[in-house]
Amino acid sequence: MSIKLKCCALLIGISLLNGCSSLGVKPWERDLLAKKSMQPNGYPLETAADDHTYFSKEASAGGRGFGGGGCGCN
Amino acid sequence: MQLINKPNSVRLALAAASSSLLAGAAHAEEKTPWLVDSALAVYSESDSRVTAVEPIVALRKDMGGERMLGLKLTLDSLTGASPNGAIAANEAQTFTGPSGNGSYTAPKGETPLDTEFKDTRAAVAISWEQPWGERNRVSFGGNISKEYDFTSAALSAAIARDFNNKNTTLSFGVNVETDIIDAVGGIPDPLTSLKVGLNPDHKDGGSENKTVSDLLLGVTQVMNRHWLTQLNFSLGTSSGYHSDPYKVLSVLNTDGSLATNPADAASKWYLYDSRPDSRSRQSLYWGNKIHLTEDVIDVSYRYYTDDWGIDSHTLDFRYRYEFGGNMYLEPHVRWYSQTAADFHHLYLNKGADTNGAASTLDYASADSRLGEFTGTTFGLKYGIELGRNTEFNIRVEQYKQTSNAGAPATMTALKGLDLSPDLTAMTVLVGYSFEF
Repeated sequence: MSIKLKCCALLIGISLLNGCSSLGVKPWERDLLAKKSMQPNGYPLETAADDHTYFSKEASAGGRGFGGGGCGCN
Repeated sequence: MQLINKPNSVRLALAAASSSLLAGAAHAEEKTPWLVDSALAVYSESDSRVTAVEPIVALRKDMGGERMLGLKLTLDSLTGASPNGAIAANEAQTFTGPSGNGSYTAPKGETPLDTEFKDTRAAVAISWEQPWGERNRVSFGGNISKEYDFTSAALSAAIARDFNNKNTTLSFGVNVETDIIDAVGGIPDPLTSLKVGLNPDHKDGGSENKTVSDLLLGVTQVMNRHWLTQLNFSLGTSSGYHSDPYKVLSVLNTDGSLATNPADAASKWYLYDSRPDSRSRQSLYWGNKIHLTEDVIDVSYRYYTDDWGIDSHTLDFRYRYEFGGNMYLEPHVRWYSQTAADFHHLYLNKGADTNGAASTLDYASADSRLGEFTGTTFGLKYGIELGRNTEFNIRVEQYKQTSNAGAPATMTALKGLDLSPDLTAMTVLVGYSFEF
């Protein structure tokens, strides 16, 4: 399963990078992307509180970042 | 005179204007505000189980040249009762608490809950982020966390590099954490019998430790003016003590009744939790931010797998509805599903999983967090932007875990008992961010 996952990540990564040069916006088209609501982690404390809750109640962790560590709750 | 003076006066005026601009810029730099982000989370499980109150304060400041200093303080107070791993039985069950100084009894038909569960955690984190060359940003972080029976320290470093006119960002991060587990009453030997009676002497009393390393590789891509997508692959390995020193497993007779402790005919038989001393985790996360005319959709998926046999899928969806006056409402739905760890058992079977007074298994845990279950979250958030970097928001969520794990019908003594009760929790999160 892990090899499948690695290949999948690599394939998606390569195709993203390949296609990336034709994607995107000009610097003056970043008005919407600059908004707080469009930041990948615009509300970091909310993310931290959620990571903490799910880390202590579920077996999975991480993904978005280094979430959930530093706690003896799991 | 005028012909000579005029250019001079223009030059002077320009010099005065530029110097005032420069002074203004310098003034602005001196006045870079501290950005303060604060939140209070209250988590409460139904049936008088765990309640957690968690205040968090984070400070950020631009120290000049886009070099950002970050500080974060988290406090965590936990009270209530937590399942000890034993299942409900057709008779009352009495356990000695981890400290050995008290006991608790679960009534007939109810899941045993350890009422000694209580802890306070304090965590401090510091971070530094700065540009490196024209296209890179580097960041470093440190984190120390202390609670009564657990100490943790972590260091992290990350680099992000922009490509394609900053439309593509590749990032790579490393995190190393070391934990010390200093369990109340000492660390029990794995899969040994829990003794009933105060001041148990079967624990070795020492502390244990664990080391965790994580790598994260990410790509963030601006797809168009409305769509930002992010793909992360993360790999984590840990080694050391992974068992839960407070968790036990019930040992049952073939009819489902509680087995008698072979070493003590007066008590029932429970064995301490035992997990492998290493774990390797991988996950793939795909996140998207989509800006509609006014509203924003946040949708993500995560696939997780580890070498304990746990696979999970997480789907998360938020819709930020802007309804004017700088206010928004954000409904949230999250769906999570995991398979059980290879060594997860709801209970152990006397004879099949034991030989004499010992277990024949290497690893076994009845921790419901390692079992198969589905978790759903429904939430609603309200926010109002009050000015530049100033926002108040409040979010209410319900989290529910359901599991179908049970026992075969041949275990007649367990008939009618709920062996894997649902868990329901409410969370209220209040956030306020401002600058000064």
